[in-house]
Amino acid sequence: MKRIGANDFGAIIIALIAATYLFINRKYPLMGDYTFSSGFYPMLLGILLLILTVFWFISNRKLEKKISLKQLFPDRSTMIMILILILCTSLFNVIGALLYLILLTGAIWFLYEKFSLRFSIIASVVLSVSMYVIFRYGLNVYLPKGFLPF
Amino acid sequence: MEVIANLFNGFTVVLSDPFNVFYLLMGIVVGALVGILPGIGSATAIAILLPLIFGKPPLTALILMCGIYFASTYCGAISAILLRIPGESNSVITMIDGHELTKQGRATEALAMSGLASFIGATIGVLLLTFLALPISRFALRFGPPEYCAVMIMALVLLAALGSDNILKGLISTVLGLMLGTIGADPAGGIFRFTFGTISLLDGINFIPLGIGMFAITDIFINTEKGLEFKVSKEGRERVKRKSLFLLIQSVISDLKLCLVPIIRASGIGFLMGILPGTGHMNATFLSYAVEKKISKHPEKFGKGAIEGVAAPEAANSASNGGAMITMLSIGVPGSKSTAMMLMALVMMGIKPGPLLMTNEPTLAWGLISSLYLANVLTLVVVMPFSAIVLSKLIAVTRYSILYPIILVVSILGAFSVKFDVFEVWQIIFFGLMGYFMEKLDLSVVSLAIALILGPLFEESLIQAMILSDSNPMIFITRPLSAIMITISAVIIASQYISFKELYHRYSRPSK
Repeated sequence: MKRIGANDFGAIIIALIAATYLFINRKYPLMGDYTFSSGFYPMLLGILLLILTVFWFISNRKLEKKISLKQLFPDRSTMIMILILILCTSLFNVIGALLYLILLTGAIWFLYEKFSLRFSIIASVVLSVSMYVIFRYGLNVYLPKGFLPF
Repeated sequence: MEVIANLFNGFTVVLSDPFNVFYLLMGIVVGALVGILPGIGSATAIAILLPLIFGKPPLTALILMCGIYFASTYCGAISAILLRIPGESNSVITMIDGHELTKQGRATEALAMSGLASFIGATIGVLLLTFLALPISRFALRFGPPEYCAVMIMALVLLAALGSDNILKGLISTVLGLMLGTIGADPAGGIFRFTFGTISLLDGINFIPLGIGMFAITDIFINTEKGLEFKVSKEGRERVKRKSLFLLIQSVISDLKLCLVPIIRASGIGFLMGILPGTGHMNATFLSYAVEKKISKHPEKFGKGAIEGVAAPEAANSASNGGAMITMLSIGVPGSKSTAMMLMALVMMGIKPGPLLMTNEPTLAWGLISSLYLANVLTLVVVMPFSAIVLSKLIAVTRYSILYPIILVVSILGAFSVKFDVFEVWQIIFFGLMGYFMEKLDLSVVSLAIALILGPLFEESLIQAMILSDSNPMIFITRPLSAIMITISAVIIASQYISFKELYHRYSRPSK
């Protein structure tokens, strides 16, 4: 069996998305009293997407140069960045916006970019506090406090 | 002549009180700050400043709002061009070529062209508004649900064709965007679709978190993977260091000569699209981009840093403001969220927009129109030089490892400020990942983002058209305007597979 490339994998995933979308859509009514109802338009979109992904899969067969599946996924360093982002965001409401921003930027600069601890702390505090003040007091955006009083 | 005299009177009224100019400048500064930050749009800025407006004379209040409106429209392009964060949905198309120009060290030229094109487009829009307000508003009234639906179909087809070199992938991206647009309450029955019981999804996916995720965050993931040292390429940085102010001005003037005709063309398109409530700005920007790409002698340059790719959408966007004002002033229908806020402010002050506004409140109406001119000029003079010279140089010299955490912080706070909900921050991470995979597969994120906005409007107009015609789809063919737009859509799709030029040459050759 030939190895599937990135485009084939993409076509399969999007076909799965379309199928799942149609599956969830089955509970919405198709016709109302006067015309189409909630489920009709999504049904059209789901079917259209399925047809398009089939065409995409077929057109991939004609491709001379294929992107390998490995190239589709993020490398180790990008995975670390994504992990930092996810871990910090899960603490957003707990520690509050200001600490979250300091933690996020500090982690990126220290752990990911390998800057010195001193620089990372100073830079992250300066950046986070200034942005916090602009948004909170300049633009009246109510940011979560967490366990801090401000 | 009467129109010119009225306009002159309008200027006199505005300039006679120095506080009016002060409020205009204040509006411009606030509009610039909010336009550059994602998440806080001009509508929100006007809403925040509404308490300040209370107690002021109506004209002063309108002048303040005009300043915010114009400056935020222009400044939405600054973050899009420099940082790939679309400040508003209107900036997405400008971002395509604008950001590429930044990477080539031509951010100054891109920002200057954005400002100049905005200025010329807005001037043309306001001139057309001044002279054509009433006749054009009558034309706009002929647009019913079938015509709106047909405009949307044309726009979506153009989007698919524009978004990617491969129309199949463009269509896939567009349909994905339309599917995302179905999340939330449906326009027919109000049933909540695909929300999975999440309160945050009840009013659907907002453009701001999606736009920030798919453009700014995706860009960060891809650039950090590449190990980018500077946002601007080495040649670009050399170019920035070498160019003196005189050479920059020379470069901008030569770009302007190149872009003058596209700007005028795009302004006409923008003004006409701006008249259609709810759709104007989005359709104006990418319709003008699509036209310029089609007409250009070098269409392959679009998407890789063509200066016309910045000039056309910016001119169209600004000109569409004039069109949006027509519908607000002459028929009392807001053309956009910002004009909706202005309309609300007018009603709160006891002023009734409509066909009689020009005759009943001439001082106010002409004062507003002349304020638009002044806001236009002051935005160009105050905001553009600072952004084009100072900010662009700052981006060129700042290391990417310093820059992208700043972009991340602004993006997160901007996304949070949409609904004050951490779910928006999760959305930007999710869409950032989605955009990352889409970029790797060469699927257009621009098509998806714009389809998200147009999708609900398309569905609503489709349902209205079906109700109007008792579910008879022939209504799209029997109504002339709608039929023309559907035909254009079919031709656009066909042109991706058939060369009409070749067909013409083949069949016009005399037979042997």
